[in-house]
Amino acid sequence: MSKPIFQTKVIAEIVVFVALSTALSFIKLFSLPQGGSVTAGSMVPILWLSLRRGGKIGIFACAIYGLIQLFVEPFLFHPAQVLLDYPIAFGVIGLAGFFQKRPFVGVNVGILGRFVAHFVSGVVFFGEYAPEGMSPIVYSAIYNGGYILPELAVSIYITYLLVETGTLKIFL
Amino acid sequence: MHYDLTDQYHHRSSPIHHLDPRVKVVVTFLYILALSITPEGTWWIFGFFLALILVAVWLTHLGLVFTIRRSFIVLPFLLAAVAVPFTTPGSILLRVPGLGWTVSEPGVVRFVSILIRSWLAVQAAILLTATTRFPDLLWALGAFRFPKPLVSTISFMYRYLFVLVDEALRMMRARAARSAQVPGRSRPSIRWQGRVAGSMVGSLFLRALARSERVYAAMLARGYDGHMRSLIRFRMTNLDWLIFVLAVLFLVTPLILSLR
Repeated sequence: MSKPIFQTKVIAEIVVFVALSTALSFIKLFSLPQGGSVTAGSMVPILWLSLRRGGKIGIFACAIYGLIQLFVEPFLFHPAQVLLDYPIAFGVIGLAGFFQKRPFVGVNVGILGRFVAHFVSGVVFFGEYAPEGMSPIVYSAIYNGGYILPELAVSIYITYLLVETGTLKIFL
Repeated sequence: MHYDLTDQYHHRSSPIHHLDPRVKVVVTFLYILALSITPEGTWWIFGFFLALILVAVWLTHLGLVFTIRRSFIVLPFLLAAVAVPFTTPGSILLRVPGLGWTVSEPGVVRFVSILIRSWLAVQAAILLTATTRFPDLLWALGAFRFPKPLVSTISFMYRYLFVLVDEALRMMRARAARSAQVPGRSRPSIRWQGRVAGSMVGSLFLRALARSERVYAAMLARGYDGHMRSLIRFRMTNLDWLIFVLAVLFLVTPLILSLR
């Protein structure tokens, strides 16, 4: 008989690491007005969980993290924007789990996926906020890149430390 | 516990507090949806939706100051829309002396509409969380057939969030204490700070992992089999149905009238 995806042990890990991500998301280095902020590596615990447990569990855990962010820091403009900016944008971070053998590629894919979701939301829903003469595409890319690139740098650095110390496979 | 992440719920003996959480979740969702599709500049509809919120606040006995104070959370987000009156094309309302900037009438209408929409949506969310206990909210999600692993994970996570926030803050405090600048000596180098932060994160991860093992053991010890058992039970009463139908009518009718 095949094991169910959501074994109790996996649920326990999801609980603790999503909570840890949420805890780290409260430590903000700086915030932007339309939402989005550079945090103390808040994406690393869920990236780490995705790399440890695979893509399906990763996407599930990351989508939950997105829903928690929606509760914690809601920015509601349109129902489709809410879906795109929260469960989908964070859920795609879990794509990192499909690159378990190449953690750094996984981290880049996951965070790039989040960027794409916010970027699309920015073009579709917040394009009108772009200064006169600036294309909404450029505006959204600059705005979202402004906080996602530093997050990517922090995440890669911490993931490097975790990979080097072998923490990724501990207790598996 | 040092971090204030306590429940947003405020106990009062009001009809709204006693409503079935499913009704409150659906009505709040419909309210936000109705706000998002309300055409810009239809002030009478925004006024009507504001009146609905005021009636709800009055019924909850929470006091107007309570919701207004909390709704200021929306202000930083609105800074992003400040440029809208200046960048939207249309008939010019006024010129900013010295700068040559113009404020257009459609821009002002759009900006005020965004402001009202965001503010009212946040008020509705505040009322929902202030009148509904978090476990009741989760129960409502379960009743709407949200996936069980999702509801149970959020429920567990809510219990451990406080502990982990505390742990992260303790480590940040320890790091700040070790990074103090001594008068007459240079600041610790970025490299040194990076190494300390790295060790700190590694330590935090190992502690979190050890905690997940303890959580797992506790779940097994209590016979967790993938189903969350709860003593919470709600049944839709006649009042619940009445409020639900009235809310739908009040939200849909003005929108239909605005389209005519």
